Amino acid sequence: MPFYRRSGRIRLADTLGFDCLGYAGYLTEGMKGGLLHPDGIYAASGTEGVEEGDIVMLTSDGTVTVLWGANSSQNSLFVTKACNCDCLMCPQPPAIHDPQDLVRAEKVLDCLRSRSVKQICITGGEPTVLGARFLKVLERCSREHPEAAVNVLTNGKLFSDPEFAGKTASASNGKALFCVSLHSDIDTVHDRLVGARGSYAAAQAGIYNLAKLGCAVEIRHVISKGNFNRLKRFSEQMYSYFPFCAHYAFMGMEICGQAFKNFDEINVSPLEYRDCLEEAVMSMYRAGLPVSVYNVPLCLCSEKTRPFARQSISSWKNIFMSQCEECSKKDKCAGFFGTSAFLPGDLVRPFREDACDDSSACWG
Amino acid sequence: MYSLLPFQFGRVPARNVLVVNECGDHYFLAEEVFSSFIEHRMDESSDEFLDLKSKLFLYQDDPELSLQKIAARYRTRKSFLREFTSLHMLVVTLRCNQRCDYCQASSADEGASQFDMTSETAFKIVDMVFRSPSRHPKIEFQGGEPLLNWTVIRDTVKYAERKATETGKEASFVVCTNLTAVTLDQLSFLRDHRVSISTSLDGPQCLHDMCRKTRQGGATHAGFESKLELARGVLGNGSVNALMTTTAHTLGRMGEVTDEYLRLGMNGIFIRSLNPYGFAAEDARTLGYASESFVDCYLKSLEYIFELNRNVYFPEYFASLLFSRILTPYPTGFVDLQSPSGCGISGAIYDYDGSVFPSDEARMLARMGDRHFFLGNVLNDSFEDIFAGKKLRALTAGACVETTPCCARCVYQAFCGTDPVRNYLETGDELRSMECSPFCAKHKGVFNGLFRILKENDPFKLDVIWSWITKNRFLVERHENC
Ligand code: SF4
Ligand code: SF4
Ligand code: SF4
Ligand code: SF4
Repeated sequence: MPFYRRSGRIRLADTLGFDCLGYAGYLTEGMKGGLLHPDGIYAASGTEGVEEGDIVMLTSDGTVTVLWGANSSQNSLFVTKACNCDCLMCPQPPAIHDPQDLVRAEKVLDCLRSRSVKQICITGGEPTVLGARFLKVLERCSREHPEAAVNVLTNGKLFSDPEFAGKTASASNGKALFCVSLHSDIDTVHDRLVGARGSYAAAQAGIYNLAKLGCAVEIRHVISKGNFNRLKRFSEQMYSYFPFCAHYAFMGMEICGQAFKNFDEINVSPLEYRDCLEEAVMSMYRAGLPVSVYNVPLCLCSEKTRPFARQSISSWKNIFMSQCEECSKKDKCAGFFGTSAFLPGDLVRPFREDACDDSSACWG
Repeated sequence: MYSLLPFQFGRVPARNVLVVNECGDHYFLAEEVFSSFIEHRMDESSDEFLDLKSKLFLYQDDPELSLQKIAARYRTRKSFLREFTSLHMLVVTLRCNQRCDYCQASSADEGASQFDMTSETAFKIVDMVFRSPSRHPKIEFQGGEPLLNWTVIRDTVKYAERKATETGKEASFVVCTNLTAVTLDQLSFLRDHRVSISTSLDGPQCLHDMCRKTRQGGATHAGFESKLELARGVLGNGSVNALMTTTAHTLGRMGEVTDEYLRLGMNGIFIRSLNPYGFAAEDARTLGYASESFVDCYLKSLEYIFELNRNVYFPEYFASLLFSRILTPYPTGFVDLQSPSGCGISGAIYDYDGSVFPSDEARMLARMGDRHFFLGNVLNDSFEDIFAGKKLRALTAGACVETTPCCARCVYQAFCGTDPVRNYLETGDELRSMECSPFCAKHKGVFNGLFRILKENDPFKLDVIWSWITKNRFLVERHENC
């Protein structure tokens, strides 16, 4: 690396030498650096998790956080912890906005400038509560990375303001996919799950506004005890009144954060919702809507649902049970959230090669 | 506390109430539940209550979002209006090499070339076609037997292709022919210019030949079948579609008709009732039938076709179209059954002399001496005179189910349509009460049958229905592909 380009980089080295001078920081499993060496972390363990091109954050307490994996296709820009909802199943309980989150996200964008990036996901909390600052991040993503697929994870509420939706549409340059969570076909059910009255109406009005502006929308529906018995009606409502969306996803829950706290109120076993999920998925499939199931292991899906189940859990938190080792479908299975405090391990039923359970042949 | 949103209702099947809201969403309720619903004493935690809320039959608190959703779907359903006239039918000749029983009044002798359209007239029509806002104009050549005036078809297709390139529009072409006189050269031209063929097939030989005859009264089925094979050889297998006309002869033998469609490799079948105009009164007596008998046979045939679909993908197109109206939020263009009526604003027919009419029946009426629906002539009148003139405006404004007696309160309003020309033929008035009309008897009967099928909720039938609507044959598990 030529010297003039070192100042924005962190050097990862087995041991420090002269070639480590001039960097913003270093990371080594070897000894602490000398006077001329930049501040850094030494005697680190587990550096094999860090790869060339990763964007990392070094903290004075000695932790190294990978903010952006160069070879990962699941990178996110985490812009805020704040949210205008208070979901019973939120894996990341909302908190007041910490300006550092946004600063960090913007630094990542600085580092990414002039790199080729395939995918960027803007997430939080609720990114849109940052208003103009959110628009700026979105605008940078679409302008600096025209080739990247930009996803915005949002509860959609603020797009009910046509002016804000309009500004978002222009900031996204018509390219971003807005992944809006919608958890019921009934206003009161959705509002109870997200802990804020009026959310259903605002989110649906927001989806219409985005669609009118030509923005692509994905619907994300998290399955819980509070909504699973109306999954099919949810599908029907989507087809009847929101058939223009780019994609519809039914998602298994990650049991952490609020979801763990509210476990009894919202947890439902995949076996209990299996039939409802099948009906919902088949109703969308029949009508020709692009539908997927996220975060539900194959052996907990019904046979007809299986072809729609995707490997959706970010690799860093994706785990499997010990029984899964014998399973012939493991390489296609979503597995489990390592972050979940509760795993339905006793329900897992590995597939065997020889068993004639393969339904996908008829659903090609 | 809840309030009702606008809806229509009717009792289908008996002891069940079918409710349909303003934008076409439907739901079935038991009689007692329906009463409690309209009397505002429904149990607000019941599944039915939530279903009615989800499907926009009622709202709580603020109606704003519900109305926005109804409006969005309503706009989509009526969006065929934005295209304006897209189907343009050119009667390029009245001559025909056949003389079918149900067509006597409208086909002229093979030698009567005074009934041919000239290229000058045809080009004027094409100019007019491209004046319409429609981005996908469809030009359909009809007759008589249009192939008897081949040079005009050929020149018109080429001329229209040039116009399409100039205007950046996408034109498509269909020729409606009995096929018996088609030549290899003609077929090659049709293939090269992507003109599709729509032909007529009434059933197996005996049924087909009963009505479809040569001018000397001879059989036509054998000739038709060999020409069909020739046409497929040149244009490819899926290129020829057929239409059938149900007469009193075929009415009870629809199974045989369907089997013949399958045997000849047709993609599906459109079971059409007989158009009661254009033939002499004595034929009406031998060929005609009551709407009720048609409905009966139609619904039986539909059951037969559902069974066929266990083994092969084979849609009945009329059911497919109506189910698509009932089950999807999308508009379905079907000139014969929409509101406002498609007469003139979705489809128009140009007679051989350049006279423009809002529908084929209107043209027939003019041939019988009543030019009530004559909109103008392409040789003398401008696009604005014809398509934005007082006559078509008045015709369209009066032809809406929403304002037609009976239809205005009918549970099928959202899916049905009107035909002002037929009303005029039957009563001398473009608007009539639909009570006891044959038009209503047919459609109400068919809708009753289709909703009974939906109420059955048989997963196999639903898969078949959706496979027809979405043209996705893989929705039905069949023995043929496992
Ligand atoms: S899950 Fe709910 S509370 Fe958590 S960030 Fe998303 S919208 Fe906000
Ligand atoms: S056994 Fe494990 S790998 Fe196999 S389907 Fe179940 S969860 Fe997935
Ligand atoms: S072929 Fe067509 S135009 Fe000719 S007589 Fe028969 S129905 Fe009439
Ligand atoms: S024609 Fe009959 S079925 Fe159709 S809307 Fe009118 S009353 Fe109803």
